[in-house]
Amino acid sequence: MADTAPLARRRPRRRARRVVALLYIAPAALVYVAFAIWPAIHTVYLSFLDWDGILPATSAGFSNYTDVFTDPTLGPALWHAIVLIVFFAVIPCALGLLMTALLQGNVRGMTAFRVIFFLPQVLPLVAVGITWRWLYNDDGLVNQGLRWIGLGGVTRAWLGDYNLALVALGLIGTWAMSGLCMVLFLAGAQKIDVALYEAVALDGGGPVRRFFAVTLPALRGEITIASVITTIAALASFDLVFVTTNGGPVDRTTVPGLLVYRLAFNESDIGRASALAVVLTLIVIVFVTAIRTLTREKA
Amino acid sequence: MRTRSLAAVAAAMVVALSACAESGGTEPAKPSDVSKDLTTENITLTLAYTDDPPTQALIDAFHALHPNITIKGQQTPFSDYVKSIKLSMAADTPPDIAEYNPGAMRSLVPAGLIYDLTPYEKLYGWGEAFPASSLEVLRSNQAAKEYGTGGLYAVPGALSVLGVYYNKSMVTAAGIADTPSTLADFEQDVAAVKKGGKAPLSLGGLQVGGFQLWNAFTNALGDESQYRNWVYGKPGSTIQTDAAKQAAQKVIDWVNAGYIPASANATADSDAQANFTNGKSAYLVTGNWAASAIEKAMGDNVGFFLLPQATAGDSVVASGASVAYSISSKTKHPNEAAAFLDFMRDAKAATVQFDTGFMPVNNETAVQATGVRADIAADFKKVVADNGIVPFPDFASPNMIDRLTSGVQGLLSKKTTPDAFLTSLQESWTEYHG
Amino acid sequence: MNPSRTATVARYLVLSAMAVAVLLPFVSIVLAALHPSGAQISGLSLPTTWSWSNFADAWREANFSHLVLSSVIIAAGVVPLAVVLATLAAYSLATLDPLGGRAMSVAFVLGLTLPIELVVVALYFDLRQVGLTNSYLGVILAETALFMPFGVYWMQNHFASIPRELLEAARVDGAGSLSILGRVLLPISWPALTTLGLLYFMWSWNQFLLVIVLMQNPDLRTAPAGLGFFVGQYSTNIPLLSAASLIVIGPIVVLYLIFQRNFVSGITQGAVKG
Repeated sequence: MADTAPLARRRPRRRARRVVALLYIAPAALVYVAFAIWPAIHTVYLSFLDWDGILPATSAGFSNYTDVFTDPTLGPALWHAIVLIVFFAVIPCALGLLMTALLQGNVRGMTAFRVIFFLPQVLPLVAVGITWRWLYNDDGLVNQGLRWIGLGGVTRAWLGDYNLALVALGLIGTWAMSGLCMVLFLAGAQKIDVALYEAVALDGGGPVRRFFAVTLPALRGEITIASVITTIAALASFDLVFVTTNGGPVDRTTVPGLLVYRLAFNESDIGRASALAVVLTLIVIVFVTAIRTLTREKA
Repeated sequence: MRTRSLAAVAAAMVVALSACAESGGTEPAKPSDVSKDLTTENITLTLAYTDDPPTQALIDAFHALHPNITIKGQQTPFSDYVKSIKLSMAADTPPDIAEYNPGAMRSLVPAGLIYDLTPYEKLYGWGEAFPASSLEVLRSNQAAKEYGTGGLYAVPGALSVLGVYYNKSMVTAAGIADTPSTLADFEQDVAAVKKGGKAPLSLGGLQVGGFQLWNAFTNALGDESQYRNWVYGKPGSTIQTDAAKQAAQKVIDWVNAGYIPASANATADSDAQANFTNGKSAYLVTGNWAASAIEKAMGDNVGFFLLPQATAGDSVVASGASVAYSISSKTKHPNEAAAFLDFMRDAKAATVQFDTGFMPVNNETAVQATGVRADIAADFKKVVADNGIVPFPDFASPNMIDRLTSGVQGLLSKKTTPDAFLTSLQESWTEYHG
Repeated sequence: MNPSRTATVARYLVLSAMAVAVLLPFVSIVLAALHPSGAQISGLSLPTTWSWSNFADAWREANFSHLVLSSVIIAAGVVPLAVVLATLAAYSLATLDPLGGRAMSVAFVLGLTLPIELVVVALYFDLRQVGLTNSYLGVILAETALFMPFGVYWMQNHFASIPRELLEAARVDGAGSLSILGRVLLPISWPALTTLGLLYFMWSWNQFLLVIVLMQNPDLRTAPAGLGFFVGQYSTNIPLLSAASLIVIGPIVVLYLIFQRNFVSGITQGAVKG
């Protein structure tokens, strides 16, 4: 039909079709804008107000933002989130790469291993937190294991320890995220052309060089994906902290998510909560952009 | 180019938003058409609460008197209740009645979300029926900046007091003959238990147990009227007192002496209570709200005393509160809700209050007590007679509970000095009260 | 033993060690859940008497009848709604060249990095204003919106990978855009849609922060949200708590074991390519 139409009439027709195409997008866009984009913008607006959620609001200028960086509890929370990146993202990715280097080549029975490794990814973090609360308990598995190998002297209630609570919390993230990295990298390594390895071997390169010359560059895409997912998980953590330490002891494991919740819904300081949420979002964007740029530059 | 247009749209939205400023109710709410006549139709009220006992038992007793009024209870554990109650009271369909927590529910007063009950107070004559000190903490000025004066926002349903539970066989084994009469005596007893190779104290540092210990010390060492004014928000008050500082230092000393377990900061209140009832420690500092559960687990192997004062013979002081109930200003049945509040001074309610481990609001009712509850009742009588009930410190400002919890965690892990701890409390107080 | 044999054995040892590290926590709570309620357990210990009653007790104590029902209602709302909306939008963006399509694709993708914390504060007040707090509909719409970026991105990639000739052929036959979607694309899109539906179910089931904020009424909370508050009451009763945790993770683990391929591919390929 369209072919026989004169050229002059085809332009507007095509335009009309492109407008009709919008009808398909409208419902999704409507829900997305109303329940995600609009609240996000609204939160930015709230961050410039002094508001307790109930009484009339007054303007606050940038004071909520200066509070985020000067307040003795808010600043450390951002820092803790960045420390958690080490445990949620850096260590899991390193572990995943190490496994990939060790397991070069095909492994039979890989499916079963993949199912096991990936399992922590699908669990509700609340349940993961409760499980680890018990493992870290005075009589939990962690201390039992330490006693068993003769380290009874270092046992303690890990999540209540002033210096080590954050590390203990981070290791839960390591446990939950390592499988994701392993599965990703092992799958990526399966796709590498064997001829490349042979070329390195002919050059007289050993396994280390083989890994750095071939495997690592080939996994660039997977590394990006893994670091983005795990970094966001670290920065925006809430569930895990909420059920394990609730920010304690002495605010040593507070994270931005927890404080946003606390400020907004316990202390009714909506402005400060919003400002913290905005700063957190900016940090997420900075980190994600940095990861993308870095992995791209390695090319 | 594209991002610029997105930014422009966003900016336009923000401008549009500023036009509709955030607002809400701003008037304190007083009920109108107050009456003692109750409906004869079948109605259902919801009641949000955290302390059970006594709430559910009181609901049942009230329902027995008024079969056409059903009260549906919704219970939430304490640390979550204080987090969520303000949100639920501000919702479109809030519970009709809510257990009142002065710290968490502060902003509901100026927002007019809970009723000023003065009209009912006059109608029913509550001023004479309830102990004056129990109503005092439930009064607040309109801005909710100062307590102890102004309108009445809740009515006490059962009274509580903070003290020390002890495991009888364990203290006997440690050679302790009777309950201590001074704080120094108590420290000697604790040391004796420790010497015998047993753990003296269970403590829930993860939640509120930790600061209750500090609070008990503070009240044993210092002037209660000064402390009371601070909690009520009287202008010019401070917590940076010698007593509060000594109390904080004592928490640290007890950690150093090994009286407080190293794992306290990872211990929840319910864990601390279970440790005590399982015979893992000789003492537990908590309130009489835990009496019935502790008695169920330990039978007559448990006793109770108030933390003694520094000087023998000083009048007793203890933190106490009440399980009190407020009425939502959005309720459709204010008169029936008020009838439930009035029921709290009924003789039937007194029996329920006492049977669940609390002190009855109605002092006239004679109650027969045995075991640990006889201890509590006797101590409570003393402290009420001395007018020595003081409010809990977390009532002082909206984020005081977080400051107290993390501050005491700092004392317990010896990372926070007493000065720094009190400074952070006072900061929160000043920020709120100006 | 030749070197390659040794290498193989070593490989399996390493893999097995990792697998044990992942599984031990599960073993620990499964064993704990089988101890008598209220028992003092230490570490990994075999119960002397196997008590299955913890599951029934936990179900009753934590009010799981209500909680699981809420979870199911919310997931049953989110999954179809979000899958349908994302599919329609992605179909248009990938094949119909709508006006401003590029900008919209970018706007959707940007949402992938939006932390929930940014949305939740204002969302609570916005929904309270229109009476959608404490309501299943409010949570369903909020989750649908928050999961939308991933769905649009995922389905767009899928539709873009379908050979153009297929679509062109259908167009020449005079099929409208709706019938192309229904008759040509959907029949070959079931794997992608299944994966998306499964991921949506998982996210909806596991969602915590959004639910504890938007659902103030404890009777309307979902299973994980209820569990988060259940800890406060029963932290000492490790057997009961472990049983409650197993009840919450049960459905998702079963689904995962049946559809593990979809879960793995969805999570690993769904992330934004660098």
